[in-house]
Amino acid sequence: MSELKLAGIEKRYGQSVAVAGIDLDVRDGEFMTLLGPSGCGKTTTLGLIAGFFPPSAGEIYVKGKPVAGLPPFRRDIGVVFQDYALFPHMTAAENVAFGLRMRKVSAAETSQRVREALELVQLSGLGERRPLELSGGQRQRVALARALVIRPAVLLLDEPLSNLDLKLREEMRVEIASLQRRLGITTVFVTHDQGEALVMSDRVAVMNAGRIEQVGTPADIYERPATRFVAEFIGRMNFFGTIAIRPERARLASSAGDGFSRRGTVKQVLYLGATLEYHLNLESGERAIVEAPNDAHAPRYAAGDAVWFTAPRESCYELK
Amino acid sequence: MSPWAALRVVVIGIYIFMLGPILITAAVSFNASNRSQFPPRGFSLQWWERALSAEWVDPLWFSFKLGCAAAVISTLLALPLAFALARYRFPGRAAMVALTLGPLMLPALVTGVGLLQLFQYAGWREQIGFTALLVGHVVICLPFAVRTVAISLHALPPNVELAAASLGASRARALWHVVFPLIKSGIVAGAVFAFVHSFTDVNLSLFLVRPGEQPITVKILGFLEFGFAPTLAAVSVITLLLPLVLVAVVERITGLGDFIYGERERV
Repeated sequence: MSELKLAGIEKRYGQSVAVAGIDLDVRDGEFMTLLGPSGCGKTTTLGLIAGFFPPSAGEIYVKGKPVAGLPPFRRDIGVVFQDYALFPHMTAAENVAFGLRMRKVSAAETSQRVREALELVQLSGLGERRPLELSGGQRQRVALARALVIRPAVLLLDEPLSNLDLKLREEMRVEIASLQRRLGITTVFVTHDQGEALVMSDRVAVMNAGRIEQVGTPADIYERPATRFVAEFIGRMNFFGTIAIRPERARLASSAGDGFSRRGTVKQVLYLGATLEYHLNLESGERAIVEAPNDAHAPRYAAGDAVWFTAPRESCYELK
Repeated sequence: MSPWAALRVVVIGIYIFMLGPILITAAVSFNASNRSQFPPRGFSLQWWERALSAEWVDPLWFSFKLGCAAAVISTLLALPLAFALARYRFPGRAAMVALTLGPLMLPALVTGVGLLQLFQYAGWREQIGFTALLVGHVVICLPFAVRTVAISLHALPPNVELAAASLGASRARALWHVVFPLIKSGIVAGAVFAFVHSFTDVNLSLFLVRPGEQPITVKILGFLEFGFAPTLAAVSVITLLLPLVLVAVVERITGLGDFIYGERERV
């Protein structure tokens, strides 16, 4: 059974449409990512699931029960905000305890569960600190512990990594994803970062202009993009009419190949260390990029060389 | 002269300009002569003795009570007002803003005359004195209280209320456990500003006093007709110190300075 189900969800503000009809099933224990550019409606969708504002149409089901009419405090949903939204006047432990206090959990159980939650996010010993005395990464762990300690049916993460520096962000990606799998908690993660989406998710819903363009595993959306938008938004792509070819799946050759072939000249070669990037001007007037592994045995080309851009048939995507 | 030295000179100049008259007043209050001479001739506490007699302590106490009542009432009114004005867009909002902040632009003198006429025409002549003064002071203190509460509401970290809601707090509990503690220093600051404003007001109070029910400022003004006796110097020092001490105490208890100087904890 799906743990979270969105059925025909819409959100309009007067004339403008933030969410234009979304259907989505999130399975029990699944890590679902809403991926899209800013303004695509992903954060609005998250707010609708959390109950921060009501949908204009549609219904939301948590564990099969309709919740669209319920206020956020009756929804059994944990939220980690982009800015963490910790309570600055409370210590880390008090922040984590807040949801339990609101649920009238006994003092003994509260302190036990707060301790476990802080342990879970590796913050044991920092419970007495105030948010201001914690680093960005630690604040985020407090926010995570605060949302997890109430054992919500669904965990919502709103771009929780975007305020961290690069190295920490990459660490937290792995950490959050492994924590989520260990706890088996149904999770909806919102991001505009395709790297995060691909690494962390069981499935990704790519959003554009208030709609879902495609839902699928990371491999699905990368290797079998359903629409031009998805193909363009995830990774890089060469387009030839309705045919799309990933730069790393294309080859340079001195003669035409079996599959897709176009003649052209090398305009520029970028040396990226692990790979070489060839920028081509094709005779058809189109441009193309080929990403070749930096292989000692592979032939090298220089700017001005006449070459063939080729790709095996199985690497060409036909777009709708 | 380096810019820092120049700045220091300017700052010292400003302090002399602000504190000089006060120090002179304080010195004058210790005169042995019965004229307000500076530098003082001799040393005596006789003017302080008079300043601490019922003639002066009564209006001081009156002003203190009036200030406290005006501060509490205007702050209590300011809370819902600031919430409505800071959070919601509704028909008539602009008018409400103008009504709330209007007394800030209007000379208090005009408000005083207006209130006097209102109380007379409405047949509330009996209420002229403490009640009328309280009404007037609440009106002129309200803008200060509303402003400070509204500022602290705007300074609230975004999403903390939503976070509280997602953790199971109803609106009322989110207000009580999260919003209220975070805007507390703003509320206290609003009340202190209101008190100081009420305590130092003379323009409005002039019109609404009755014998035995007058604030210290009006009493001082009345006494000035007989010249500036050293008694007045002593009274002035007391009148000055009272709100200062109050502000210092409140600052000590609540960290008011954090609010005034914008050093709020942000996350």
